Order: sequence, then C-alpha cells, then structure tokens
Amino acid sequence: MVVAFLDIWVAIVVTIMVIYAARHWYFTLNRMLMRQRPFYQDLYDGDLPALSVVVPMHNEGSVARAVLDALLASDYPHDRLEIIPIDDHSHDDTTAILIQYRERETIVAPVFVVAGDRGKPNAMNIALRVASHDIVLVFDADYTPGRGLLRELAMGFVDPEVGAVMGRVVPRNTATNLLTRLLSLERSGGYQVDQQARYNLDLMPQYGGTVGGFRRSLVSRLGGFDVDMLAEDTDLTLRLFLEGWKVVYANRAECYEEVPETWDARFTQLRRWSRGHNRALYNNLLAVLQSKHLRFAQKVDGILLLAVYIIPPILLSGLAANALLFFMGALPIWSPLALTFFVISYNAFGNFGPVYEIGAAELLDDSNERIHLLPYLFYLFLFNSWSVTSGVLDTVGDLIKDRSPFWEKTKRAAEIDIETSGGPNVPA
Amino acid sequence: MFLLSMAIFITLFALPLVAGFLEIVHPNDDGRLAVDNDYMRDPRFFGNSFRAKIASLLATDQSVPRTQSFLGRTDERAHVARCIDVTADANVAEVLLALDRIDIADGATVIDAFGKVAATAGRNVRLRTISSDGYVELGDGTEVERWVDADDRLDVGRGCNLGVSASAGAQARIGSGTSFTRIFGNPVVAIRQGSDAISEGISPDFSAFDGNVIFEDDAEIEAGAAIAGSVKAHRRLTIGKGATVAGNVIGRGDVIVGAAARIDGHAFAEGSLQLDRGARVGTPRAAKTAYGTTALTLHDGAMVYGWAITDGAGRIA
Repeated sequence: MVVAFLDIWVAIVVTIMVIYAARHWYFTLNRMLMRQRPFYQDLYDGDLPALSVVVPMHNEGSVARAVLDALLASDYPHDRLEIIPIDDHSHDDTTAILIQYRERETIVAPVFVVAGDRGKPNAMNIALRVASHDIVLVFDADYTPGRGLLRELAMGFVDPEVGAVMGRVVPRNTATNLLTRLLSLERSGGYQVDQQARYNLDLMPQYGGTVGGFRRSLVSRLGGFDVDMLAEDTDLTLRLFLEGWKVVYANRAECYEEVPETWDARFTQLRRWSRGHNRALYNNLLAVLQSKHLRFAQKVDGILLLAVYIIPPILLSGLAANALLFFMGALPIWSPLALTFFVISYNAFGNFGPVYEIGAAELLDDSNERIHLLPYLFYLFLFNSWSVTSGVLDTVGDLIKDRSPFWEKTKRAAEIDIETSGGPNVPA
Repeated sequence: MFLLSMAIFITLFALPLVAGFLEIVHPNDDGRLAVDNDYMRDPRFFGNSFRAKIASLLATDQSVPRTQSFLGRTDERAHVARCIDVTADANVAEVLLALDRIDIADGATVIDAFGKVAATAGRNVRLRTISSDGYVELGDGTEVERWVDADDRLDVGRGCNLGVSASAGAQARIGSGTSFTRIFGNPVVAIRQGSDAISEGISPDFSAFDGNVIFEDDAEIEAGAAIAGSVKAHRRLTIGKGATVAGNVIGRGDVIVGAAARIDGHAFAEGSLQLDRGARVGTPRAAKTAYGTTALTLHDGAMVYGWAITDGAGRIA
C-alpha cells in the first residue's frame, strides 16, 4: 500500500516536472525563434497622460536621494508628474530627506505613515487614496529609473485593455560576489525570456510591483491591495486578468535595482516571495480555473505561474519518495521510474530547463563569459529550494492559524554594511 | 579501484564547474548589463545631435570659405562656406556646411549636407544625411542613406528613399513612391503630385459609441461612425471611411484606416498599418504616432500629426 502510494506520488512529480520543463523550452524557443511582439515604447505622444509616481520607503535613507534625483531628472513633463514617496514608519533619516525634497521640489509630495499597518500593500492603498492621477507608476526605493523610463512605461496605457504595465529589472550590483552574479543570471532569464515570451504569446506577463504601474481607478474598483498579502503584485496580476484586463511587458523599459548581496538577505527575500506567492495561489487558483475571461492557454499559464513556488518542495518530496522506495527495497536503482524521475528533474531544474532559458537570455543580452557560471545555478536552485520550502511552510501556518504575515523588508547592501561595521549610516 | 572510482566521480562532477570557477577567480564578464539611463526618445535625435556637433564649425567669427578636419575623423574633411552649390552629377567627398543655403543639383553624390537657412537637393541625388535649420527639399528619386532633418518644413518628391529617419519641425510633405522607416512632422502628409489633403465629406453620425470598443476577432468600424474612446481589435481592424476615433486605434493584426477617417490618438498595428486617402492620425494640438510593425503605407493625402514609424517597409503609395 505504502509502496503503491509512493510510486503514484513519484509518477505525479515526474509529470509535473515534464510540464515545467516543456514550459521552459516553449518560452525559450518562442523568444529565440518566433516573431517578437512590440511594446508601445516607440509611440511618441505630444499630449502625455498625467502620472503619479509612488515610491514606498521603509528606512531607505541610504537610497532615498538616488531614486528621487533620478525621478526628478526624468524627461517627463513636470507639469504632468507628481512624485509620492511614502515614508512607511521609518526610523532612520528617510523622513528628514523627504522633508528636504518636499520643500525644494513642488512635484514631490511625500506621505508620512507613522501609525497603523506597515508594509508595501498598505503603502500602496494609501497611494490609491492620495494620488491625483489615474496612471500610477511604482518604484522600489533602491531603483534608479532612467530619464526616459516614465514615458516608456506610461505609453503602455494607450491600450484600452491594459490594466498594468511591467518593465524589466536589471541588477546594478552584479559584480559584487557570486550570489549577485547568479541572481543577475536569474533575472535575465526571468525577464528577457520568460516575461517577453508570455507577452508574445498573450499569456500572463506578471506585474512585479516595481518598474511598472497600473490604473488607479481600476485597482481601487477591485478593492485595492490586500494588506495580508506579501505578494501584492502577483495578486494584482491575477485579479486584473480575472476581470478581463491585460498586463503588458516592456522589455526595453529597463531599470537598475539592487539584488541581495548576502545569502541571509536572499533567503529572507525568497522566503517572503514564496509565502506571498503561495497565498496568492490559495486565493486565486479556483477563480483562475473558473474564469470566463481567460483563454485555456492563459489558465494553464496562470496555474503554472501560481504554482511555481510549491514546485521545489514537491520535487524534494519526490526525491524523498524515491529514497524511501529504494530503502524499502521497492526501487532498484536502475528502475525505469527512478531513471525517469532523475532525468526529468535534471531536465526541468538542471541543465536543460531554466539553464537553457537563462543561456538564451544572456545570448540576447549579448553577454558572453558569464554563461560559464550556468552550472552553478544548480547549487543556487538547492539554496532556493530551501528558502522557498520555508515560505511554503509559512503559508501553511498562515492559513491554519489564520494569521497575518509580517512584512520583512529585504536588507540593502548599505544596511548590511552598517550592521557589519556597527556604525550609523549618514548619507551625504 | 575505489580511489579510482572516486577520482573519476569527482573529476566528472567538477568538470562543468571549471570554466565558471575561472570566471569567478578572474572575472571577464561581471559588469552590470548596460542600461542607458540618459536615453530619451527624441524623434529628431539625429538632426539635433548633428547640430550640437557642428555648432563650433559654424561659428560666425571664423573666415569662410575654408576646409578643415571634421569631428576628429581622419577620413573626412568639412568644407564650410556661406552658400554652397553642388553641380549636377558631382561627387563630393567632403562634408558640406553652409552658413546660408546649400543647393545640390541633379544626380550629385554628397556625404553630409547642412544649410543653415535651407538645404535643397535636385533629382536623383545621393546623400548620407541632409539637414537645415530652415527647410529641406528633396527632388524626385533622391536617396538618403541615413537621415534627413529640417527645423522648418520638409518637402520630398516622388520615389525617394528617406533612410532610417526623416524629421521636420513643421510640415513634412512626402511624395508618392517614397520609402521610409520613420518620419516625424507636424503633420506628415502623403502627397501625390498636384493633389492635397482630401475630404471625403462623410458625415460622422451614422453611429456613436461613448467609451472604448474592444473586439476579440476581426473587426470593422462602419463608415462615418464616431467613437469617443479607443478601439482595439485582437485581429484585423478596419476603420471605415470618414469614421472618427477620439482615442487610440490598436490592432493585434493589420489595421486599415479608411479614407478621410480621423484618429485623434495613436494608430498602432502589430501587423501592417495602412492610412487611406485623406486619413488622419493625431491633431494639430497633440502629436501622436502611426506605427505599423511590419509595414506602414500612407496613401495620397493621408496625414500624421507626429510620428509615422515602421519596423518593416514604409511607403508613400
């Protein structure tokens, strides 16, 4: 009975791996060989829409000036622009910096949140209330948008079906260490291939919560952001598609960000993403299956997107099942089932799935030597599996205990430096 | 045997990591991907950039005519004069910069030509670039390899090739049979010899829609319809004769904008875009874009206030 159950489970895991491996192949081949769908960035508009640019900040003194200066240097007409930094319970010098900018720049209108909930979803709900304009663009505080980026993102909204726009995130601190180099590879695959292929195929490009934007009236009508949701971006993506709206991806609307530089910071970030993403899975899976607005291919893509953070523990459980079968004497090492499992796992998460996707992305980005690091992604995947599985367990705990997750911000490199040196951070 | 097996295992295990290890120890490609944070979209980028580069060469306190090195290039020199006339069929190897006007006669071949007041080229002239702070006129059959820019009007004859970019601060009148990639003007007008903008005289009151209209399949907006919002079709889209669209027109496939139809916003086609006789995109108050991904065709009298762009073949029919 136990052996039969384990056999069936391994077969299910193998099937799931096959599906994900096929997905990676399909997206990569689409990106490499098929016609690419244009975004709207080539449109020139002499009558640009008014924009509200929101920057949620919690203890962002080390980066606040850089993002505000970058936004102020934008070529977007300043009479059609307002910048709303949201100081979310900061206890460093973020507040003082924002006051300086408010006094100096008429288009900077900071909001200071000193009581109540903390976290990005809450900050975004405040933005929905205070923003003056219908198109809201969002940047995290560690981002430095280029001068033409606001215009490029705003052009996505010329399409009456578009509810949200997503740009491409590019790591700024790639050269710092092995982790940042591997994360840079991951980002390339995720945006240059995965997001663009989804956009090409009219599937479900994901709104990522930064370097992007949405229609304020629409999101307000959908009930705003769920403050219990750590992945408010994934949740919004799903809710928009379920209401018949589109999310579009702008591959050339690129913006630098800072990726985690320590394994601790990466673990925390990925665990939070996993926890939030799996909550989005729980909240939206049934609705995706039943939706009348989604095509079959979009439903499949939506389910695979939602389930992506439960795959590592499923794969680990498959490994455990194989081990159990082996030690119970029910699985000869050369059995077809075991071989299939390992080959498919290798294809899905080893060299032939994401590695092909990421290699293709590096080719498209005209990067050369860094592809030598591709085999190291296997070890990053093992690390990711650990943190993602922790996030899955968090989600299960949240659902069983009906608890609200706590927003734990990803530590910036400057903050980590302070902790290491024990000194305060005094920005210039 | 055990040690040999272990050695083989470790070797095979480590082999894929060797190249990466060398890249980690001696990084050759660890820089961030290049993102140009200063990039801004400027439909007249080429002309504006060129003017900035030649500004010092056109300083009025220097004697003319003179010939001097050009922007540090070793293979090209610039000839600066008050007025420049290039004779028919001449082949000029110098960059020509005129403080007043430059006129190039039929059949000549020139590298770069700039006239502060005006720049004109006759028939079948070959140029790399031509620009002016005033107007630019190109005769029939003229071929521009790279770009054209005029601060004022741009008049292009029949059967020309406008290279990768043509732009004008005022009206750009483009003759039939001309091919292009992108044209910016206020407006861009497709002209057949002897004709002008066309009004078909269709009353825009056959039907009206208050908001956006979205079609999942092929779609046709009937002639004379008035739409207060935008129109999008997931396949082929036809805007009927004389129809008016206050917003944008977006097509996932080919888009045809019928004769004398008016689109106040952008016209964007993931396939080809065709503007029939007298059709108009944009308004005198707000420049917009007509974008056809695979092709863009402007028929006689079609008008674009702003930018006419294609990634494929652009043609004035």
